[in-house]
Amino acid sequence: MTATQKQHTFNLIVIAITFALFFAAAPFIGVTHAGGFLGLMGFLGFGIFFLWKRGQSTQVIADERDRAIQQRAFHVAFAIFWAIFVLACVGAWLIYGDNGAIPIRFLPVIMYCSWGLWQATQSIAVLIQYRTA
Amino acid sequence: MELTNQLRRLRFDNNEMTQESLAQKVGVTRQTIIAIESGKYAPSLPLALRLAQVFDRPVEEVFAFAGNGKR
Repeated sequence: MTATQKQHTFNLIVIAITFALFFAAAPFIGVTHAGGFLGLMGFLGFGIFFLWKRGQSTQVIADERDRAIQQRAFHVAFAIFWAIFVLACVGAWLIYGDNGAIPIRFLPVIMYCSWGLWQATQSIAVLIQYRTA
Repeated sequence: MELTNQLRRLRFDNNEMTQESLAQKVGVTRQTIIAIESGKYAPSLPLALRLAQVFDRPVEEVFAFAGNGKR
């Protein structure tokens, strides 16, 4: 398993735990308070440790194949995120019409969910490509 | 168009060079060597040239199109 694979596996685990806690808690304490669990996504930052050089100084951590895989995964994540984001925005407008309103406290929740969706899609795309490319 | 390669044979002809050793010589990960050998990944031209250089062979002897190479 390459360092990049380890990093994205770690990312997926962090996102899965975060959203599992969020969705489990939301019915009991409300979306706003359960949104506190979304802060756990800050642990994604620790994924960078997998890319640190260890052992031999000549060890290659990432190469052209890793970069190509990550680049394609970025495009896949962008396309899927954008499609879902547009569908969600237009869908809400179609359902609630011009006079609908979203409570302002939902904005950080939407932001974290968007980030989580982006990261999860990118990590899944990376891991699939390591099996096929 | 599918690309074939002689990396595995060349490694064994060169004192059974390991994938790890070849990877270090050309500056990639062992997983990339595995992917190239199995035909899953087509290397960039600079990497293909570096691989050919390690075995002191012309690049067309290491990599070739499957069949006659014509569409």
